[in-house]
Amino acid sequence: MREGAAALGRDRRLRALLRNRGAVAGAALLLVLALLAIGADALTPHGPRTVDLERVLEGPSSDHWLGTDDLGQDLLARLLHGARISLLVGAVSVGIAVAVGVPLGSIAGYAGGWADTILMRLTDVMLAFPSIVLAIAIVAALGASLTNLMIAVGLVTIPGYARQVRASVLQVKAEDYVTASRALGARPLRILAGTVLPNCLAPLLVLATLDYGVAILEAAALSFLGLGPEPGTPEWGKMLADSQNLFSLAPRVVIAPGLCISAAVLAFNLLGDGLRDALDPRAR
Amino acid sequence: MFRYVLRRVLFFVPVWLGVATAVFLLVRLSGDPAVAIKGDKAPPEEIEKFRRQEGLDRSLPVQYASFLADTVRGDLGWSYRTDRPVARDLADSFPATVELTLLAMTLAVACGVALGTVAAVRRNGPADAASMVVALIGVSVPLFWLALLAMKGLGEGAGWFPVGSRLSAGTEFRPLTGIYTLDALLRGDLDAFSDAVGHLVLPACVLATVPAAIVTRMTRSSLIETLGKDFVRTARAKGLTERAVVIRHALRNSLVPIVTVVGIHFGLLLGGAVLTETVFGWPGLGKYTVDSVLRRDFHAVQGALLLMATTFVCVNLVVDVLYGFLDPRIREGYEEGR
Repeated sequence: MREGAAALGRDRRLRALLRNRGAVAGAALLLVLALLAIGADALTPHGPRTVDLERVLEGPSSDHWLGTDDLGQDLLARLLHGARISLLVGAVSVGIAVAVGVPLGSIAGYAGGWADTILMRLTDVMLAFPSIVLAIAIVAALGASLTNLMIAVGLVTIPGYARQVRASVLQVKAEDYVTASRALGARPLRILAGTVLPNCLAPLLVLATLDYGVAILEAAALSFLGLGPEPGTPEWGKMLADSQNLFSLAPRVVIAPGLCISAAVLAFNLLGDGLRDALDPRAR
Repeated sequence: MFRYVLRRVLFFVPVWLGVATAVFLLVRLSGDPAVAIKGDKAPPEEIEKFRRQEGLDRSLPVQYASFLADTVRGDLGWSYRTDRPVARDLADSFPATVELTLLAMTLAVACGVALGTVAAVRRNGPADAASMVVALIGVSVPLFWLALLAMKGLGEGAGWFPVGSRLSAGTEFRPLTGIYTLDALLRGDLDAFSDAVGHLVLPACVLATVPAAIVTRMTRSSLIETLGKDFVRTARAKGLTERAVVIRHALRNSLVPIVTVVGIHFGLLLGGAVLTETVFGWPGLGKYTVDSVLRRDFHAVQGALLLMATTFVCVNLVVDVLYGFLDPRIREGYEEGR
């Protein structure tokens, strides 16, 4: 009976999601980006770091579809490999935020008391900084590299998850079915993992989708400021920083990486908005 | 109301202490500041001398205590990059950021409320679709890229806007408050005023894009909800023009969530200022922070981060108080709830 109702709910939500044109467009765009990232090596014969000083800043041709940059590197190859990096950065950053934020928020919400107070005051302090500023400070402290960039972006995203999960847990904790499983003698961890958390998943999924885009945006910004991967890495933000003085000579070298970042972030925003409309009955 | 405000203000103290602690630790996590300033090729005795001079050889708790004491007294240390007291640097750069963010926020609210209202009134029409698409793009486009395109294209390329600083080179100008447009008006110097405005417009427009997009979306959804309320139907039934119904009745009642969203996203604006200022060479707090971080100028980093967070916390405090003021239910709920 409960299984059937759950399946029905899932079915209804899935249909709501598929009816949402924005969500479908976002998912499609994301799929295209992912395929391009995976097939980067098959799509172009050029390597992302193959320097050819004889063919600097060439326009689009049948050999170099999008032309070359100031080192004669193939722009398309660099953009495709950039997609790999950005999708990875988003996944790892959001992964860190979820992996740390969800347990912290669950403990705070379920246990309450001093654990809750300490964790919430910690998030207050983190939220007192504009997130990009905190990320800048963290990367500066850890040293500029792609790994530290992902750690920094992940760390500054934690408070959002801790708070979201805490709020959901507090809400779900008061429900009758949780009281029932407690009365049946289930241990706190079991109640939390088996009963409370599955009922908090919807807002979490929406947050993670939207944050994936934010993480890509923040990582590109840090990388642009020189707090990311080493020079020469085909990362979109880094490519923009390296080519910013070429705007008058070859605007496409400056325009293309920005368009790629925008497309990736747009895809996650569309999908996230669609998921929220489909999953959150209050938003409708 | 007084108790509500007092509670919010008292809440500020522990958060600020936490912020100061975080800044102190972050700066010391990044390796030895003495090596960062003197360079790793400096002779050990010189580094040692610097450490003694800066008190970096003392234990961490002692350093922390003197950091707090100095900060409270307004002594933020010496910047090795600019060779000036950090407090003086911050006093110079902060007004530039205030000027930029205030204009950006004003532009964002004006555009956002207008676009959102049009979208809500012509719901599901082409105007609605267009403004929602614009808003969606606004939150998806990287700000530093937009800044770069605007500066290279409209500034350096087309030459429509002067870029690179706050005033054209050679302009004689003695600031009063540090907010140059205001200072120019106060001094009655119209040439300096138009020059300052010319420099300000482009970065402010770029910085306004994200908050404008957010305000548009918020205004639309808030107004759509209000337009469905009974009192709007009553206003229409009274025979008021649609214009009066929307502007005088519905929009005014939709303002509370809009005010909140403006407050919440102030941090986003400060973060955006970091990127916009860096690209445009706007000598504000954001650019100062980035330059100091890249040079590992530790006193300057400490001071800049602290000022940035303090500003943000203060704005949130003001928004909280304002919100409680606008909506009595919130402060009552707060007083009963805790």
